[in-house]
Amino acid sequence: MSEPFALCVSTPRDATRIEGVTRLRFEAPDGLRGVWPGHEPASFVLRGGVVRLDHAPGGRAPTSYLATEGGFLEVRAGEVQVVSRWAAAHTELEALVAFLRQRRARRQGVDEEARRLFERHELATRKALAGLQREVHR
Amino acid sequence: MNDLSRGDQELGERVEGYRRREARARTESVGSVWRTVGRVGALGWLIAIPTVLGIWVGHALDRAWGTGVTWALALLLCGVGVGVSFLWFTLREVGDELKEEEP
Repeated sequence: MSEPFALCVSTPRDATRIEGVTRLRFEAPDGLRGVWPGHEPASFVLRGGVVRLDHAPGGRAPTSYLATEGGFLEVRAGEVQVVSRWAAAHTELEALVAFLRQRRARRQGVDEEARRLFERHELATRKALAGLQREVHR
Repeated sequence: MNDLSRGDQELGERVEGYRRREARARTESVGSVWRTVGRVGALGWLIAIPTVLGIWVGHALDRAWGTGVTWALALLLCGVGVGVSFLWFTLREVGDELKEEEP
């Protein structure tokens, strides 16, 4: 049996390397795919969702999960490279779901705050323009 | 809802769906293994029984009508055809079930 491989996850913010992966399962646009050690070099489009990782025994949890917003997955000798806009890993799916909910709530909060600020500034700009028009026509 | 929120919602739904399917697969895995073993065990009978029935009926007809082995051979082939059809439908059903269970 081939040696376990490493998973390198690259996002715009950082790059992480996860060692000791014995199996990887991800979703491509045409369905689920798996990667075992010794897989031929290949490139895939990675669909946003969960990438399941099985690890070699010793130290680490036997399974972990990586949530991604999609991207690309490249299989090379001894490692798999994932490039995505955003990714987060956890050993428990429930914890990953909770983390995604928190992230979504935080981003919605930022979105709403930005919209409120925009509306306030738009109102202020209109008032200033109305005042300027009055001055011009006096 | 803008694109960012929609993307977050879709990702959340996909991960949540994955979690539900994996939890279901874990609880149902033992039962489905035995069900699959039972089905695989029955596969041989799916071909054997129609074939043997075909030979038996054909042999009876040949004896009644004195036609040698004509009917036995013909119904043997029919029996094999029927058995293979049963096998094909059963395997397709198992394949559909496995696809549904895939997390």
